[in-house]
Amino acid sequence: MILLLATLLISGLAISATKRPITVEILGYAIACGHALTAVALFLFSCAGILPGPGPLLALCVLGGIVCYTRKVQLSIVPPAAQVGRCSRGIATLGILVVLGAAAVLWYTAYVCGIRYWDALAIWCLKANVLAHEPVLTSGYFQDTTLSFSHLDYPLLVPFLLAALANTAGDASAFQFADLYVTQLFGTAAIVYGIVRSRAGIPLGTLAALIVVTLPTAQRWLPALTADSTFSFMLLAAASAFWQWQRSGEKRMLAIAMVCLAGVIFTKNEGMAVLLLLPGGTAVICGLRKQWSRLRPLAIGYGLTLLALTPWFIFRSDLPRTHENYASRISVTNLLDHSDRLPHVLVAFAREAATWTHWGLLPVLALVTLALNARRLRELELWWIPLFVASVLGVYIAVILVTPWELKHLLPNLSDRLLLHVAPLVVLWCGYYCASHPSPPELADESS
Amino acid sequence: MRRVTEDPANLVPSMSPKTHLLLVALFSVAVLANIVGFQHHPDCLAKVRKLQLRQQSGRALWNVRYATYFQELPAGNCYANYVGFRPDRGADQVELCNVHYAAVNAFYPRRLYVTTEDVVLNNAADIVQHNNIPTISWLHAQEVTTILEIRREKDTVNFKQYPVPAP
Repeated sequence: MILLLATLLISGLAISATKRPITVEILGYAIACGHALTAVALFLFSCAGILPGPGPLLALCVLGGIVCYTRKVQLSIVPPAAQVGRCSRGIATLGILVVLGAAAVLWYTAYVCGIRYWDALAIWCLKANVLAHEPVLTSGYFQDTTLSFSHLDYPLLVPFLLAALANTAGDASAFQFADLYVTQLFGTAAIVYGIVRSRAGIPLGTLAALIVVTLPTAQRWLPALTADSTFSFMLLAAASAFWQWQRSGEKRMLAIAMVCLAGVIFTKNEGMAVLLLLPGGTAVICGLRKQWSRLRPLAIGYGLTLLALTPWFIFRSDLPRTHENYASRISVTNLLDHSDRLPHVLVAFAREAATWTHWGLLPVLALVTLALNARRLRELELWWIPLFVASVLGVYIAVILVTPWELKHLLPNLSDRLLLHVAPLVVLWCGYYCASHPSPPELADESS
Repeated sequence: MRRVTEDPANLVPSMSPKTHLLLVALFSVAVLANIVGFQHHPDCLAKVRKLQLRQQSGRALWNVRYATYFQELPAGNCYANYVGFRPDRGADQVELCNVHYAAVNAFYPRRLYVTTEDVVLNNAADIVQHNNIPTISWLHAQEVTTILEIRREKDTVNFKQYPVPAP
């Protein structure tokens, strides 16, 4: 586990860190970039006949270290005194304890229940098992249609990381696999905390991070050992990095965004929607703001991301598709034919979002954020994240409309997982926009 | 009254300490609501505790029970013959999937066969439909050493092992 964690962090820092000391959100981005880089590299190693395990991980770790060294990356963390906002030591300590508590619950659940969900067992753990034993190109698994219940064409980020963990630790138990999900939990908390803190101060940054890690649905799906929580983490990293780049124009942020975008695509097939939505949406906003000079680096970064994923796209194109090919079913006529299902789908999503035992007060927080920003409703920046979240959910709803499955069976099993994909982004948006630093007391007195 | 103060990211209007305090309180309540909601989530901690009690009383979880059984089978590949599973019954479908998926995963890299052809097996109904006893020569060609009868009887699943006869 330590070797995998070191590889994720060091390879990620090679992309995300600079000569300036590291901030907390950069640590979160490093974990996300590390997931994407390590998984894609392990896929290429596997194509060359080298199984995921300590050897490839060590090679990646050393390579990441060399890049960090040659770029003279500073690996020290920003001291708390230099951070913006009022440091409330009590809240910060409580925050760390709650995050550790959430991690402990995750380990406990994995230890007690093992691999209990059928899709974890039949899809993700079986793929990890296959990849731990056989190189992708020579494995019979990917063409064996008697195993097509395991969705042969699903992306391989999670299976490759689990396979590396199993081959390194010599144990493929759920308890061992849970380590990877705990890392993602910390990464999610770090990104949300870092970004919210930069505007709203440490107490609200800490609380926003705690809302993400304690979301009941997140706590349900993290120890399930499926790819949904990983997808949620990668999507948070990619979308927030695109958003940050949109605001700052910093090249490093664009690099992080592109690496995380590759990770999103390599985690779940739902990522194919994001492949167009994120860069496309960003380009449109650049156009609306007449930031023409940003389109070139965006296009170059996008091209490099697609190039890095080309081996996967080629490999995937040859895999048997024995389940529904949703993309081929989405057409205007098909959508119109099934439009009678739309109210049922919308009601199911609304009901799910309003279930407090699944989402706590998240819908209330979103409404409060909107109310507090009532005067800024015409500002494009405020709507960047909500529009992206709505677009992703729109694609999901379009797919659900055209699927031949019965809604009464499909929606109860699907809606919480689909909402989980975008939930950390919603928390980030609420935390960032519903508050700003409190004004100093003397100024507040003056104003009163 | 909102004022503009310096911020490293950009200029952000600052809020009054009172509003800030109210938001801290709201966010704290949201964290508490999550923790309480988690306790009441039908598939979270309460269920995990129930499962732990079940394990402690010696009744292993289905995933552990099936995985252990398949890992202890004799060397070589295996042919599974599912008997008594009705694809029109939801409970049978679930149980067949539980057994088959746990078995395939626990057994790998050894193979668990259910059919002779390159047929598409996407779900329990496909498995039952295509689960035909193959010829002895085919079993030998696939290096199958054990035929496993997995029989659904009332609400339980029973296993019987047979060695593959000589050709």
